[in-house]
Amino acid sequence: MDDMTLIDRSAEFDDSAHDIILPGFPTGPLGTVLAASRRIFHTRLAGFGLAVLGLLIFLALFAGVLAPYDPNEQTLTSVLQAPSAAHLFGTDDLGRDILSRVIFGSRVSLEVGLISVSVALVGGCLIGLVAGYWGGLVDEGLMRAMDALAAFPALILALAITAALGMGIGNAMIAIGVVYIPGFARLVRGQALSVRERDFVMAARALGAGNGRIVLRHIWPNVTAPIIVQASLSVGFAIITEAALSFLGVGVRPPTASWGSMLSEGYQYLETAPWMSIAPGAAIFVAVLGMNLLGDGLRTALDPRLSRR
Amino acid sequence: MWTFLIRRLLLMVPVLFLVSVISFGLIFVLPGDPALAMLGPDQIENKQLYLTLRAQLGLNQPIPIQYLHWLVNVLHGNLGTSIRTSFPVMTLLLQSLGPTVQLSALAMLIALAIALPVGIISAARPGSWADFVGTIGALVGVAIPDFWLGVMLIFVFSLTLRILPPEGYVSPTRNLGQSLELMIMPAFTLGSVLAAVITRQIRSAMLEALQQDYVVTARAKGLRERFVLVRHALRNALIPVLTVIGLQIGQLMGGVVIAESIFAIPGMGRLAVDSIFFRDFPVVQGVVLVMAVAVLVANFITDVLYAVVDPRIRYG
Repeated sequence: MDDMTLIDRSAEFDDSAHDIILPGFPTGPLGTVLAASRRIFHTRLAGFGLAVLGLLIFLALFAGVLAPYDPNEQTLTSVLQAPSAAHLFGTDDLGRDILSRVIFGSRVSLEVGLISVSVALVGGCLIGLVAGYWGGLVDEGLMRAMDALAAFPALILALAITAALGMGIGNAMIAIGVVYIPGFARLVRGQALSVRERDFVMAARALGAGNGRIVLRHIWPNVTAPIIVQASLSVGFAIITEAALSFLGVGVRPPTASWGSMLSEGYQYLETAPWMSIAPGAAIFVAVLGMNLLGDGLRTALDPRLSRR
Repeated sequence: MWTFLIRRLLLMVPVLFLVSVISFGLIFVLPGDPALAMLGPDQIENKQLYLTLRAQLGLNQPIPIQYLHWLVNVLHGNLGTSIRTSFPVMTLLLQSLGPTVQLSALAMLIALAIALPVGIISAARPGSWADFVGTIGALVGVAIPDFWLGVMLIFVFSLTLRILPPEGYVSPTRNLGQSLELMIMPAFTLGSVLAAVITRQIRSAMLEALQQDYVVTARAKGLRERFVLVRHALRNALIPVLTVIGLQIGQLMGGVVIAESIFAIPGMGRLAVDSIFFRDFPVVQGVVLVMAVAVLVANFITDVLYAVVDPRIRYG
């Protein structure tokens, strides 16, 4: 497939994104992150995204302390209760407290978001670096494979892989990770292609540096900025994909609380207990909105051209 | 133009080949013997069925030979037989194609009907209230899970207001009014997410176009603002938007799975989900292959249209 059909975020970034280090800041990837964080705090919407991510991490880490009830404790005397002071988000068909399940559900979403994006990041970066640096037939072969993988609708491919590997959160994470590999591979490849022609890479080669050293010490640090943006945006998509898989019944196994499976259970009682569907859906929405805003903010912060506008 | 078309078609060949390999290979991701896995726990003792299934799948042959047989059959329009229903996979796909095409087309229409005016107004008056509402709407649209939106639409319009039926499908050739009534919520569920993506693209492309010299010239000539916006800025802004619309076809196909499952529409997405649950892998292979090819064809058409409207692409 022709590259012009692909969403190549590399075009949105300046090659010298790593050069936007403020005076006194460390250089390299750490400096990029620190400089970006300073800019993010100046953008209100991205700040909201960062706050949502912080809240998600806080809920996931302290779910045991914050949740008013055991998320899996069934109280058959209080099934399908509307929101009240005792149960702020109501109870489900088994008498479980929905607020506690939403709080515990953040663990699944965060875990899936981070692990599946890490799978995609590692796989995509390796493929992208190899393709972009070596070029030629290696590049052609790898990129056509990525084009083929990207041709499959993400949810369909994730569904098929999860169903084939077996239902469960671990396999869902692998499936989601595989689905997002092409996005990272294309991005890194685009960046690597431009960086490998720059003077400092030529100089390193002239000094006798090996391919491994050039890729790790010279190419890699210069392609990290767009990857950070792509990763933060992908976490949001991964959270939605996991929820969709669980909603369709191939994600997290019961009784583990997951926002997608809670929504699926709530759908059965939509007429009599709509609160069962409202809270988990709203949680997914806020988490994804936060990650998207953070991603947009990071893009502005890490791209000198956008931040000057 | 012909050189461009031929080059673009040739580039599709290796990708199509790899798509076919992945679709075929899905069956081998199953742990253990695919035939046993496909039989499931209920039929695992049925040796006759097991042997028939192995023969039907050609599992006794080397994998490359199996692939070649499968590919030759696929190229002849034979995608195998459904294990669950014993119908040819092609028949099932053709039966489910109509509802999916209808749903996708309606969703795309809704998306464009929302995105075009909102994107243009946002770009024409950046920083205004209209722009603020449009931008927030687009942010919400991108983040809202389509399955939640679908469920909430059913809650509001079917269960609370009782003005729309919650689920079902009627062919438009049988009863157009009823068909549209049943399709409006699923199409909106799908279309709203697309609308959000396209609105953002139109807004940014229009903002870019409005900075160009030809727009300044048009304004300097005294042309009315509406004329400048539509005839000068929008025509040029639509070029990148076209690509985004083409790239959304894959997103649309994924959304179809959700919408068809929630609203009980007998389309390809529903067929895919049902087949996955029943481990009906010939059907899964068929649906996955057809959807991937549809995405590739949509990308091809987008590229060709792009080359038609922007000559720099075909000569570049």
